Amino acid sequence: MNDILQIKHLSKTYGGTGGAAATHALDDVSFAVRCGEFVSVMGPSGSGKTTLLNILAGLDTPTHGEILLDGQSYAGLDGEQLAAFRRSQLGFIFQDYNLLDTLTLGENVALPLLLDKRDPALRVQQTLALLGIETLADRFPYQASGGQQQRAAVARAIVHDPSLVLADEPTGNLDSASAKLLLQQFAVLNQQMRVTILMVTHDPQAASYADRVIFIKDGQLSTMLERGLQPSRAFFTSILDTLSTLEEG
Amino acid sequence: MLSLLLRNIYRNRRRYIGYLLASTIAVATFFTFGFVASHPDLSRADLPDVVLQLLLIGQIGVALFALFFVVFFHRFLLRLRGNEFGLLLTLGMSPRQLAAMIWIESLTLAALAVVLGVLLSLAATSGLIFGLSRLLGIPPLPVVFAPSALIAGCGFFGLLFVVDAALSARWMRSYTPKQLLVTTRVRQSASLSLPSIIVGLGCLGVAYTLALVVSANAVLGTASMLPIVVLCAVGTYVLFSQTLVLILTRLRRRAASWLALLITSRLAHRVLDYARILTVVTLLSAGVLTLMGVMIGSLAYIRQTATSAAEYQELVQIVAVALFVSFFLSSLCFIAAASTLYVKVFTQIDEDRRQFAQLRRIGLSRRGLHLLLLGEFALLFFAPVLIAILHSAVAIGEVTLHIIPDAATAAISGTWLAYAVVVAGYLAIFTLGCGVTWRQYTRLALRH
Ligand SMILES: Nc1ncnc2c1ncn2[C@@H]1O[C@H](COP(=O)(O)OP(=O)(O)O)[C@@H](O)[C@H]1O
Ligand SMILES: [Mg+2]
Repeated sequence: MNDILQIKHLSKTYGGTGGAAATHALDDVSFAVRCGEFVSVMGPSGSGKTTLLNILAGLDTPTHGEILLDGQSYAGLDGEQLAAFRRSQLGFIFQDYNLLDTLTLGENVALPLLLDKRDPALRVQQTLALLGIETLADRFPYQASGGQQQRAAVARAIVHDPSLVLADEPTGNLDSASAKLLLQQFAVLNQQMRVTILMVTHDPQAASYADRVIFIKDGQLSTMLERGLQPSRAFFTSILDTLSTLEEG
Repeated sequence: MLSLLLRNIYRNRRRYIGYLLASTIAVATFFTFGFVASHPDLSRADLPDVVLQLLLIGQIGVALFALFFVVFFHRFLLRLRGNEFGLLLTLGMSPRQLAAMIWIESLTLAALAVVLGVLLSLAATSGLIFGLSRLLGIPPLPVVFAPSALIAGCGFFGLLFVVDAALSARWMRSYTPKQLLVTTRVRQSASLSLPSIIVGLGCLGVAYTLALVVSANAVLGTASMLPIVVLCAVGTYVLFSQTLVLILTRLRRRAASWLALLITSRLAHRVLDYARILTVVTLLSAGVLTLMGVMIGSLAYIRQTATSAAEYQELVQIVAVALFVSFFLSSLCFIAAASTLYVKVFTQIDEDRRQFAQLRRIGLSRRGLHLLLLGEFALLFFAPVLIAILHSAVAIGEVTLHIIPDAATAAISGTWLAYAVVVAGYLAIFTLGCGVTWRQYTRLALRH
């Protein structure tokens, strides 16, 4: 299978000018994501996960290194081109949902299509139904529960058929039941709709839904775990084992 | 606790500055007008009675402005801080402590505004007394600050600020923490209703009829000024909110572009705020246009009609004072309109920054955000001016019909010409203001 995303020697340093100590948020990170794959990036808080996603989203620029999405490099795209690229090729899910307060859930989901000058009529309803929230289309975010808001955010992230969905701790603000439901929906989207997902998390339970888990620590890749043919429970156990070895090391 | 309060004030400084500015302007203009109007030499000088009456009307007008400035801007400031108050209550501050905090803050700001305003008025008075003596054609009056004006001003503002602080504190206590926490998130809703539309149109109809009919009689005309303004205000508010609701729901339901969807949803979210702001700016703009139009028009009229030298001298004195009063009031209207827009625009910046960051995350470009803001500002600045032109045209019509005796054609066309010039100037100033605001705001709101 071909790689949809290639990350080559990515580094990001914050500060370091004017005497302030530099933070190496990312340090020579390289990996690739295959088309249709569900990859999870795990690491403790402060390990550089959000930094990585922001750079992949084109919201931040790397200090070194290169990113290729579907063979196309980010370098050389200006602000307007990056925005256009973002709204056609990428979908995002954030820990804080990132829904617009002034829009209904349905309108929030329609927005990426409108931004891309596409007709939202049919797609929005289909996508809401896919996530089981079609009856909530006319509610405003403050009228929906956290789990419902996050499912609307997922709908918004996939409504325009992006090449890659990026998720930053999507279950971070959810109770365990909503988190489980959301992760199951991720798995369905990935297996049935062939959506490529890169999810960042510090929760081993969430990570165990992925095909592959990449561990990062202090901005560097430390190890990688493939699910292969093992069942979820066994994969979860191996993730826990790896985590404890990493903490000892 | 105190350092926390101070830090809190510092972080909210942009909001406080808007309110402080408004109340300082209120204090400064009230005192300035008072000092000039109660200048001892003015009452001793041999001036027509009308002049003194005009000055009294002016003083009342300035007092009403002060009231508007203080109450309107304070409420606005407090409502914006609902989130913060809700948080404090959640963290365990008692409603009584919250009320006390608001009370102390309000009075501190008030004291600051009085000091700054009085200082400002001392400087402004000197300039105005000189200007007024020139206008009246009398030797320059000495600069005197009448103690009576000082006492009246202190009494007025003392009462105003204390009552306002107490009412504001009570008002904020009446909300539950939950209500306060979500003030900015919950959308304001208004529904379309036929009775409202009829009431709104009715108010405007009665106001216009009153203006055109009753004003033939000078006494009745003066007495009906207040009801006309109130009816106009109610009618304008109802029509703005109903029109906004009508247009917004229509456009939103079949929003075919992101721009239409975002603008309509942002306006609809704060629809009552927008209706309020648009009404205030409309009425103030109508005030500026009418006062300036009449003033310039009547000046031309006097020149043409005075027969004897003595009559001319007396007319000139009356017009000079009318000129002074109306110029003063129209400047106030203008400053009030400008600061209302300023406060409206710049107090939403925190909320906008957050929303713009969200929109950028999902792929809206900077250019898109520029466009979005341009659309909103254009509505905010030009909708009121257009309605104000309508209102003030009726007012000018009233003047040309009734106040100018014998309807001298030259005077009428002169007044309309003056009005047209004023309208053109006002539009130009608003266009400039809109452009500058847009530039500044986009720069601030889109900064990382
Ligand atoms: N804008 C910034 N300026 C300076 N340092 C930053 C900035 N953003 C993140 N960092 C630092 O970079 C490191 C990685 O942060 P982040 O990517 O947010 O971690 P994670 O999402 O894994 O918790 C942290 O040490 C953090 O303090
Ligand atoms: Mg993070």
